[in-house]
Amino acid sequence: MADVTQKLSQKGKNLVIFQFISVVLKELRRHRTRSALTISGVALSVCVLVSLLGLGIGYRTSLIQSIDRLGYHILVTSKGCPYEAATLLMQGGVIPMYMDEAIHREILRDADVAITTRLFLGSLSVHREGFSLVTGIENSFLEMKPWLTFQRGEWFGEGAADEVILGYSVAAYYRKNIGDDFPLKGLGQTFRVRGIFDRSGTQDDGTIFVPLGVAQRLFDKQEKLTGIGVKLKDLSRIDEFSARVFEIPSVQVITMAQVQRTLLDLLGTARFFIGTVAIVAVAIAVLGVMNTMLIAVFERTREIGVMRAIGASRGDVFALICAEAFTICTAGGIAGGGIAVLGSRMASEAVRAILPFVPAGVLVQIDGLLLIGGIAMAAGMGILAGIIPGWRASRLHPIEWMR
Amino acid sequence: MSAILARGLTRIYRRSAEEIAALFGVDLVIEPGEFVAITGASGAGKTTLLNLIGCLDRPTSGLLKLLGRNVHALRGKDLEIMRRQHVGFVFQDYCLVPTLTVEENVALPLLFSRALHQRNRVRDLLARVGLQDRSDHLPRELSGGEQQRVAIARALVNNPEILLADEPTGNLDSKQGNEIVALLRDMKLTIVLSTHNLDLANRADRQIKLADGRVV
Ligand SMILES: Nc1ncnc2c1ncn2[C@@H]1O[C@H](COP(=O)(O)OP(=O)(O)O)[C@@H](O)[C@H]1O
Ligand SMILES: [Mg+2]
Repeated sequence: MADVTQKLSQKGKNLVIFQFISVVLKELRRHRTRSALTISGVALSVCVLVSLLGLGIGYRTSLIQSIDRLGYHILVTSKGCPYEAATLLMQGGVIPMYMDEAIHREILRDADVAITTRLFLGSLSVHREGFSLVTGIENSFLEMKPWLTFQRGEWFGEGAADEVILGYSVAAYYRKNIGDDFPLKGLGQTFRVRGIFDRSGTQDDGTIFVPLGVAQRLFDKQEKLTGIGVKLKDLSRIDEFSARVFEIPSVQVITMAQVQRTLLDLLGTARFFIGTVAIVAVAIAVLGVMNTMLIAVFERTREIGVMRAIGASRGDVFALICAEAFTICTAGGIAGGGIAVLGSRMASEAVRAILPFVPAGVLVQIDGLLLIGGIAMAAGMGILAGIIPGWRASRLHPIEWMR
Repeated sequence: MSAILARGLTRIYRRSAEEIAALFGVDLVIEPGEFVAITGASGAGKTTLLNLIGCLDRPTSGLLKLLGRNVHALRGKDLEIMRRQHVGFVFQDYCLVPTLTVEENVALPLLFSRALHQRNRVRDLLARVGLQDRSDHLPRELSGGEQQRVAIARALVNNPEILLADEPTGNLDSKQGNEIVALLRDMKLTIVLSTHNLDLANRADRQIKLADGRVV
């Protein structure tokens, strides 16, 4: 006679678990459509959750990286909305406010300043499609961004008024090479491609550069600037410097730390709402699995009773039902995580189209840890969803199912 | 020591205001190795009695001893062990798990008693009920009589002392029914079988006739 108190060997335990799983899988196969639908529901919610968390991580990382890669410590602009200024910095938007060149001369005199670079940003229609950012720059622009190197070509020729340097993506998009014509349709003037930058992973990749003076003339804003990038000799003196610049009328100082905080705040708010959506999706999935399992328990009342009659304990019945919910959710988690990984590129593009401030780089970053976390959460959901149905099944009174 | 002993065994079902005495003051003694048939019309209380003996249900009053153990004194876990180790159950409608093969169905009680290392018993039992060639089949691929034979193998796999069979031939034609009874007769253990087929009952060692919940 088998003795229940007898210690099971590890091999014996594995065998039991294996048999349990096999019973569960066969049960799931019996209701293929229902199982598939329930698994899809879980997969969907896990996919949404993992993608959103991946977006949070990726967006943050690329945001910080993009800001670091601006090269300036400080941007001086004319007074306006700080969000607008942030937009301007991150992806270019038109700030319709300009400041005089005189301000630049004043800043240059400041003892803390190491390098400055004057910027003139405008947006134009290029060819036929949409608007592109045109930025007027001067030589010190490259000093600010030592990583910005030429893939082909070189810096503007002395006094040239019809030359452009293209960001990496612009050149790739329009299939332009050195010496090609580059019409700026909005200005009715055709330029020649003088240089093409290497990929920098920042907004510079999508920008068309012209000499500062040319930009001012094109937009008919002689002696005007949209911004001045400043690098300090000693970053720790940033507060004193800001205070001094603040004295200059109608000028605002945007430190990169500030920009970072502003954008991360914005991201935080968005993530709160997105997170709520994700949690609701997960809750719906859990309820869906729970519902499926309750129906399964109801349908199988007699079968569960027979199992009890042939020796299943309440714990066994509970474990069987829970394992079924667990299997559904884990399968859903693996499928959902997989879809999220495969779809992260597409999700990045979708986000790029929707969000206001989109840094360059991979937006939806799903690493191994996040993936495993998502699957583990799905498995946890399964156990959660199995508790009530499993408890119900284990409580069925034997003679109720004998009838 | 008797295999089964009952004194004044009573089971009353309460349904709102109504009380139904399905079993009332039943006395009986069944010795180890006996093959006993419980007979009686439908509603006489046969199922109720077998459920009590099988520890699937608890008596309202009276004494019930299985293998010398007072069932009334057993708590949930011990009742489970009693069901799992000492009693095998066969139902009228076989009650095989439809998703599992013949072999897996027979092995299922071993899973619940954590005795999968005894799986060689499954093949032996299938051979004893004459289904050694059907072990990979699903229940729906078998005839009623064959399914019932699988159910008998399943009831015996944990090597119980007592086998309970509630109208095991109720869904079978007389030829298949006879085969089942013949098969049970060959098993050397205490068997309590309920039936309202008197021909089959006559092949038992002894008959206990129930009417309206009492032994007559
Ligand atoms: N769960 C129950 N609730 C109420 N009455 C029941 C229940 N089970 C059985 N009965 C009643 O008890 C009596 C005996 O039933 P049962 O033991 O099933 O008889 P048999 O198996 O001999 O046909 C019948 O009158 C039946 O209606
Ligand atoms: Mg009956």
